[in-house]
Amino acid sequence: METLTNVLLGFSIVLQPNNLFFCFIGCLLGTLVGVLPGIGPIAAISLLLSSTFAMPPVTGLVMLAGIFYGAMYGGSTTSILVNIPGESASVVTCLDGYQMARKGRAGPALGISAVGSFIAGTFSVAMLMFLAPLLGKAALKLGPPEYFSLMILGLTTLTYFSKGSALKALIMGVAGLFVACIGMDQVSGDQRFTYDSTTLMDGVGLIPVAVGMFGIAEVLTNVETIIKQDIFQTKIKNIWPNWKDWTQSRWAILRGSVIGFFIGILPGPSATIASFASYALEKRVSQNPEEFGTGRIEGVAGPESANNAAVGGAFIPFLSLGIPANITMALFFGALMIHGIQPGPLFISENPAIFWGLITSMYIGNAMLLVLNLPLVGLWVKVLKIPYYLLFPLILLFSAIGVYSLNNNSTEILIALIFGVVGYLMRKFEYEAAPFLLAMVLEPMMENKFRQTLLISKGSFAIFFSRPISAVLLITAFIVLVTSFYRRTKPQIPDD
Amino acid sequence: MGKKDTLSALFWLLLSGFILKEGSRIPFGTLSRPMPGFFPLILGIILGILSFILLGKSLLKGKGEESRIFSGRKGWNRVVLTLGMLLAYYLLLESIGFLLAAFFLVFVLIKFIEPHPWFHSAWVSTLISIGAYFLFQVILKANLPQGMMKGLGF
Repeated sequence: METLTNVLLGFSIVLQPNNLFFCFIGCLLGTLVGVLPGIGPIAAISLLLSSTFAMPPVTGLVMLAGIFYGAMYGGSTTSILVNIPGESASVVTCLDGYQMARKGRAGPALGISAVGSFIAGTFSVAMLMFLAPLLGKAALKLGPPEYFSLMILGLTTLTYFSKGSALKALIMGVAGLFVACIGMDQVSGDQRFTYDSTTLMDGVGLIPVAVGMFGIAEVLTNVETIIKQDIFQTKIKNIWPNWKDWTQSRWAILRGSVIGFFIGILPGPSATIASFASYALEKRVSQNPEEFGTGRIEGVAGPESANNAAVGGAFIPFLSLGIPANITMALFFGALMIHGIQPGPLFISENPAIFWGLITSMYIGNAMLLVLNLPLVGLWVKVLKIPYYLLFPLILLFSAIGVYSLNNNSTEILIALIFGVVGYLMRKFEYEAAPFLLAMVLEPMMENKFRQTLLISKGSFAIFFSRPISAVLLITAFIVLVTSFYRRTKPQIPDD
Repeated sequence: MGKKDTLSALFWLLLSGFILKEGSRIPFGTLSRPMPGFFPLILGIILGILSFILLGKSLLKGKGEESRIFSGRKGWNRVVLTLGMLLAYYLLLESIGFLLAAFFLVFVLIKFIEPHPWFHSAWVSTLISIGAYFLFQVILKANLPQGMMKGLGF
């Protein structure tokens, strides 16, 4: 069967020593940034993006992917041991995971977290493997109006899931769209808002902005109020969960995997949303819902599986349609562009080696991470003890190097700095970076499709509604938008 | 809501004004033949509308319970120092080269953000800058600027 041949192709690529090595590095770095609060997979991926330039594209993608799902494994470690989530996708794990640690059950919590993540990760890669090519073929039926409407839906859904005010998230989205307009227009070559600056002519780069808003801004916020954290001083004995833990968790893991995967496909911080959804689900179906929050293992197993499964789901819109649905995928988009590869519906058919190499690397990566996280958990605990005064100069230095290496241009450092200040101010004034960044990435495509649509329709906006798929997408987007203004409670925070 | 939002709403209002003013210089085209100025102008209008709504909401909310924007003099000093060092790094990088710039950046941050002894800060910074050099220049082949270290073969 065709898929089998492709999988074998994938394995033949990923099992090359170079790719295996960088897959491992990615997983290692991912776990590391997942464990360390103050730096996350987004900052890490944006820092290392430029270093993938010297590698073949598949190697670079494999490493970056490793960082992405590796961080989902690592994030749980700090949640369980220190009650401080290493990643937003591990916030929920704090609720029961930390309680389990306080009862001396840190080992099984960590263990079930790792195993659940592995099962869910493998499941979602398998689903990705089958669904992405199918969706890619279906995507060829989408024309410019449908693409435009889909991206509008993506942006509005992201607004819906924003933590704070939907209005502010919208403003961020529009601001991001504008910043992306700066530079030379793709079609006509006209300069827009560049004021004769050679740096601005190329546009404001995605990576300096990402590094600034996520890396530097985070450091500035942390440096302002230095928090001392206490690491739970306990010997972690007995990593392996016992039989009772298994029986209690296995359905949570299964449910988490499925729910995580499908939520992962949606735009937005899907890993985080998936983890909250899984927690809510487990509490709903449990026979002891009142015990959630005191150390129920399902409260760890479900969300941890869900956030890993969401990683596979998140790749689907990106690999099959070329549309990044969240910031991490936006960075992957940037990574492909660095290598001169255009993501889109033809991506899978034109670059089978890259696609299948990437997919199979995820299987191997998940296995590597299981090993990294179980026996080596003691190592990660030691890493947690690295004081922040050492970490943050490292983060800043690496940020500066990372953006410089994009074009050997030190002006990128200045841009990152400026957006670091922007990101810092945004946190102060309660705005979110995600809609801004996603809008920046989507803008070139959006504008292109928009203009193409108007050319096709000879100036009529009706075409967006006369074509059925586009109409459905736009109406859904409108409903999502209106609902996001009226939701009373924020959709993703469970009440204690 | 309240004061913070009023401030940011005003900012967005100004920005939308800027977009509309500057954007109107770019050819707009027609509906059937949109040109580069089309999209930015629409964005400017949308931004203007949204910021008006935000301004209205924040003024109506009035003064309420609100956390301070900045958390005090010490914290502010740390932020300014960090930014200043990054700026210094950017300005000095090409002239003094990566190794020295990195050392300078890391050293000042370690020594002054939270007080640490001179010697400790110095040797840790040396370790970090050499380590970073090794990782990025040697292993990842990043091509970092040499500046005045050129002759020494770094």
